[in-house]
Amino acid sequence: MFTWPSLRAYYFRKIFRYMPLNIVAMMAMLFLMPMIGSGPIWNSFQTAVQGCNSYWWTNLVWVNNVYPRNYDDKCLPWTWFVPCYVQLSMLVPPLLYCYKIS
Amino acid sequence: MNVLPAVTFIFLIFLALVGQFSLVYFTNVGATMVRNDEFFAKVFMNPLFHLSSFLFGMIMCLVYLRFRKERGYASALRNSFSSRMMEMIRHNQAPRYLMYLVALSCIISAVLWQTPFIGEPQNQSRLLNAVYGTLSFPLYLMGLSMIVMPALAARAAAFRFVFSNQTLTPFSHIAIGMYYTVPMIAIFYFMSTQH
Repeated sequence: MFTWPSLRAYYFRKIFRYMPLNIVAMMAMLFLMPMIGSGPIWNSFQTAVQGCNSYWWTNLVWVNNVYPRNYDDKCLPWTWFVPCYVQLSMLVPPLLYCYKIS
Repeated sequence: MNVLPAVTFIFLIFLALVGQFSLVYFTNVGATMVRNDEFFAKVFMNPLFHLSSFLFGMIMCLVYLRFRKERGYASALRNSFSSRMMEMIRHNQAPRYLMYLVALSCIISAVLWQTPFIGEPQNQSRLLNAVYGTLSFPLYLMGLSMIVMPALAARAAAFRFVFSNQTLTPFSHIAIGMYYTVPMIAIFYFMSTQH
C-alpha cells in the first residue's frame, strides 16, 4: 500500500483530478464572462475578475485559499474548498503510515 | 483501531483545536462568515481551521473500515475497539437512541449558538469569538457522526432512506461542477439583469 508508485498515484490524483475543471472555470471567468454581460452595474464585474488578472497562478498551484489574503484579491474565491481539500489530503499518507506501523 | 493510535489521533485533534483557537483569536476578525468577508478569507479558508474536522473524519473512517474488515471474522476475533463499538451500536437500541438524542442536541446547539455571533458581532469578546470558532464546527460534526455511524452499521433507517436514495446520485456526480460554475452564473445574473 505504501509503495512509491501508489503514493505517486495518490498524490497525482489528488493534485490533478480537479485541475481541468479549475482551468476551464478560470478561463471562462477571464475570457468568456466579460463578453456576455451588459447593464448599468456590469462595470462592477471588474471587481470580481480583477483577482484572476493578477493571481490566476495561485489557482494552478492550489494555494488560492491562503494567498492572497484579502477576499477581493482572490481569483474565484468561492473555490476555496478544493485547494483546502488538496492541502489536507497531503497529510493522509504520512498519518496512515504512522497508524499502520503503530 | 487500537488504543495507541486512537490516543495519538485524539492528541492530534487536540493540537489541531489549539491551532484553530489560535487562528481565530490572533486573526481577530469575528467568528462567522455571515456578512464578514474578512473572516471568510483569512480564517475560514485556512486549512488549519478545518484540520480538526478532517482528523475526526479520518478516525471515523478508520473505525468503520476496521469494523467492515472484521465483520467477516468469527465473533471471538472481532475484538478491536472499533468492532465492539459498532456492534454495540448495531445490536442495542438504548445506546443508539441515546446517541440520536445527543446527536440532535449537538446539531441544534451548534446551529443556535451562532445566533449572537451573527446578530450582535460587535458585542462579542475576542475570547468568545475564538471559543465559538473553535468548537462550533466540531460540535456539529460530532452530532452528525453519531447519526452516520449507526447508519453505517445498517441502522438509522430514516437517515439512510434519505441519503442513500438513488435519486440523489446524479446530483452528487455534478456537485463539483456546479460548485465551480453556479457562482459565475449568479454573478452574471445579478450584475447583468438586476437593478
